[in-house]
Parts: sequence; C-alpha cells; structure tokens
Amino acid sequence: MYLRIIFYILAIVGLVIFQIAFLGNLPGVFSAINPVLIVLVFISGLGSFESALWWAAGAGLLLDIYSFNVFGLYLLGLLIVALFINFLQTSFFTNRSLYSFLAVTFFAVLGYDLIIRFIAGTAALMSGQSLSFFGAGYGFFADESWRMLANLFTVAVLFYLLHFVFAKFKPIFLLKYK
Amino acid sequence: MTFAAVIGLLVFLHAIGITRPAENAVVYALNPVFGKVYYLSSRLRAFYYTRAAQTDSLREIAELRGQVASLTEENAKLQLAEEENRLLRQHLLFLDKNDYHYVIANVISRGDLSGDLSKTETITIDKGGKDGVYAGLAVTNQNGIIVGKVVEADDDISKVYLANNSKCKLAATILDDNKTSGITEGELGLTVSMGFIPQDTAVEAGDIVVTSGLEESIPRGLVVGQVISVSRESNELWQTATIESAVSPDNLVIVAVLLP
Repeated sequence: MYLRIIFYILAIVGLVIFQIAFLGNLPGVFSAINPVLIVLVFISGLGSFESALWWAAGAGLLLDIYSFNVFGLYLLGLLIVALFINFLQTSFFTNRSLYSFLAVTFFAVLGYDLIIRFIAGTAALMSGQSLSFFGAGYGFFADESWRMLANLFTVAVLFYLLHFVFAKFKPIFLLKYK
Repeated sequence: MTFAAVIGLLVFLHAIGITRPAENAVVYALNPVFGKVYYLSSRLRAFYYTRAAQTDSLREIAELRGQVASLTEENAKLQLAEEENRLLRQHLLFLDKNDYHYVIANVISRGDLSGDLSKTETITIDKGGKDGVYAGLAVTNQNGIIVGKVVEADDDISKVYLANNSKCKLAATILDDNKTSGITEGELGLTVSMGFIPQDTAVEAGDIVVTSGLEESIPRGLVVGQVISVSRESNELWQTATIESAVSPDNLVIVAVLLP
C-alpha cells in the first residue's frame, strides 16, 4: 500500500517535471503534448476511478505550485476532467479499444483546455487584465488542433506500446455487443 | 464531495498563506531537478535547431564573410578606441559604471502553463523573493543585454516577460545625437517596437536602442537591440521604430537579474 503511494507520488513528480521543464521547452508540436492528461486517461481506462482522482489531485497540486495562475486552477481543471472522463467511460465508451481511448482523449483535451482557459481568463478579467479567452484571431483553434493531434498520436502510440508489452487489451473497432 | 472539500480547503489555506512553507519546500527541493531536466531539454532543442538551420547555413556563411571583412576593419578601430578608453579611465580613476548588483538564475521553464503566451515570450527562473528578486527588475543575458523584465516573483521562482512580449514595456532611448526616448514593447512575440518617438526626430536603421534609466529598477544603458526599420505616417503624432533584439530567446539557459 505504502509502496504504491510512494510510486504514485514519484510518478506524479516525474511526469510534472517532464511536462514543465522538458516537453515545455521543446520546439513545435512536442510542447503541445500533455503527459499528465494522457496518463489520467489511461488510469481512468485501466485503473480505478479513485486512482484517477488521486492522480488528478496530486498532479494538479504540483502544477499549481509551479504556476503563476490562480491557485487551484489545475487542481480543479484536472479533477473536473477526471469526472468527465469517468462519465464518458461509464456511459459511452465502455470498452477498451483504441478508438474508445482516442475519443476519450479528444474530449479530455478539449475539456481540459476550455476549463483552464475559462477559469484563467475569468480570474484575469476579475483582476482587471484585458485577457480574452481565446486570444486573437484563430490562434486558439490552430493551437488546439495541433495540441489535439499531438495528444491523440501519443495516446495511439502508448496504446500499442502497452498492448505490445502487457497484451492486456487489444486494439479493436468500437463494437456494440448486446 | 470529499475532493471538492479538499480543494476548497487547499485553496483557502494557500490564500491565507499556511501552506506556503510546504509549497516553498517542494519548490526548493525540486528546483535542481527542474534545472537539470530543462538543461537536457535545451540541449535537445539546440540540436534540433542546429539541424533545421543547416539548409540556411551556406547562404548565411556567404553573407557573414562579407560582414566579417567590414567588421574586422571596424574592430581594429574599436580596439584602438578601447585601449584609449582604458588608459583614460585609469588616469581619471573613473568608476566602472557596470558595477551592478545581480543574482544569477537558471531558466527552469519556458512559456506559460496555460498556453496564453508562446514559448518565446516568457520564461520562469529559479530565483525569487528570497534572493531579492521582485517585479520590475531587469533580466540580462551573459553579455549584459537586456532580455526581459521580472513580472511576478514568488519566494523561490519568478516569471519573466521577454522583451518581445507585448506585455513587456521598457523605457528606452536611442543612441543618436538627440538621445530620443520612447517605450519599447514586443510585437507578436517576434520583434520589438519602440513607440512614442516624436515625428521631427531623425531615427535611422542601425541605431542602437538602450534602456533609458527612467524606470526605477532598470539601469540606463542596457542594450535592447538595433533599429531595423522606421514607420513614419504624416498624420500620426509619433513614429515607430522596429527593433531587432540583440539576443535570441531560444538560447537562454542562465540569466542575471540586476538588483538595485
């Protein structure tokens, strides 16, 4: 039990450092990858809902400590996304196919970015700054497209990697079984 | 429900400052790891850009060879002037005006976590209020060229807006005969523009722009960049100069924060 908690803490710290200091500094589409969110999708799909909530809380807390945005932004954002993912996986994408993971990732990335921008934008506006939610022109939508593609591609690669290593689940088409 | 209560409690405790020692301890413990991982990432980034730039290198080499010839001549003149200057300073016991107080900081992150600002407009450094850093201080590279301004400082980390950030405004002056003053600000994260220059002032491409010293915490004479073009509209009250920054934001790993 304690080993599991220590492993979780180390994984959260490692992944947040990887996201902020390593990926964030890389050029182009690499910096758009959000490993914290991707791992949250996989934990929700392969682990338990409770584990996903703990992951979201731990990673959100560390991101908030290193963020200059309003405190609790990432904590709240990740927890809402964890709830959203759980809702999607219990109501719509009930199997563990590649397409389920990709669909859940799509909605998770979109939801996460909208939540973060909405809360950060609202906080900025309340503090008197002139910050628009979506930036000027089509910047947000172009960035979001690249971010989406990068994260979907990463999830697909990780999915096949996990399938290859653990053979725990198979990439199949989304089928309805009655 | 429990998680909502925990979040509320954490935000409340953060707001009243009770969790601050624990947060500072986490930041203090993790900063070295952040620095090392960032350095590794910077090496990878530099390698990527080196490879990407190879196609342009040959053309650039030809241009640079022409520049080297003229610069060599200019350098010889400057060396003579420098030697003369050194002797004069010695004779006059001139105080070295570059005797700044400063704190060296590592860049530990690039860009804004929320994605509002691009990777070339803002950085986070591993020095903060405990080291005497506060908002408004100038940040320079190893050559003393201003790269930006501290905009927010926690105890152990600070956020810096780079000079090409549209939110980074610097009181600057042009090193011309008129000592023209104005305000520089970033443009789309790419270049720097200097506004509020009177229409009757002659500003030319090639003029050097430095900080004016009109800001309380930023000393005079830090190089901002070089004027590359000037926009003059007869119906405008002011003219605007576009400035090429003397430093690339991509290569920042270690910076200095100038203390008053």
